[in-house]
Amino acid sequence: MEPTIKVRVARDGEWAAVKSLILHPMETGLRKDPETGATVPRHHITRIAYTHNGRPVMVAHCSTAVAKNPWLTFSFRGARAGDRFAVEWIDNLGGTDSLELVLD
Amino acid sequence: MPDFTPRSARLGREQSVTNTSRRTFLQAGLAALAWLLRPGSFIAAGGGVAAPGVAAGAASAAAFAGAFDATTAPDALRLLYGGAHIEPSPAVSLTAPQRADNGADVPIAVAATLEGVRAIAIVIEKNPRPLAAVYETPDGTKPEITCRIKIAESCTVLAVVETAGGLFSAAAEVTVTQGGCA
Repeated sequence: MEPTIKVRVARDGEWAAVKSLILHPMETGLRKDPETGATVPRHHITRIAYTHNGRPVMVAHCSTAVAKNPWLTFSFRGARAGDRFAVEWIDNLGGTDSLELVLD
Repeated sequence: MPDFTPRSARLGREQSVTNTSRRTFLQAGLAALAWLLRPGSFIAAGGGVAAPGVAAGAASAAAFAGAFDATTAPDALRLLYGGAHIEPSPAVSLTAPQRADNGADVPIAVAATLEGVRAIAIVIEKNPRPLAAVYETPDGTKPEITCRIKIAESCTVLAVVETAGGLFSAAAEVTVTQGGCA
């Protein structure tokens, strides 16, 4: 599977600024396929967890009203070079992906 | 008397902040208590946001007591906060475009100048399911996010910030020219 998680963490002193993009259709379950007219089933990320050295620094609980390819920025304190940062998501159909990186 | 009328019922219409210190104090205390005791609160579910990884996803979905499935904004807020008072506050800022050409992808930003922020919720009044997202911000995370949401039709967007001292909100009107099937 192609990687779904694109994340950048920029450190500025002890603060780390996170920019996160996850590739996901975020189907509402209300949309009709323009060709077949059939309703496209609901398929959306329900939860994205961001951890710093294993500690949660952000947990995003999402409905179908989060736009396609969920985008999120936030900042957390206490980041140092060499620390681990991880992103993991799960959707309503059990789909999931994760990514871990080491901070510069 | 603390006012337990759900302000959410007047979503977006009332922006003035009434401020007598006693009233605010009482409201803050009671709101915090209600927040702590609300059904399926994170604390009841095992403490803070300490469940790393999405393995706890199912449990956490249950913790929202169906708020994500609510079909009106007042219902969503009641399920999320157990009817606790939500105070419109200048300490919460919600930045959204006044006019969004594409309702399927509307950038918004929420920031709070409050201590002890635990979570930020985004509610879109006229979406089929108004609760769009809840962002948990543990200690050490700045109460400041940007994200992108779908707005089905022109309406009020509400940001609710949960703190140890109560619930505070900011609202913005967004006019949508092409609705994002939300």
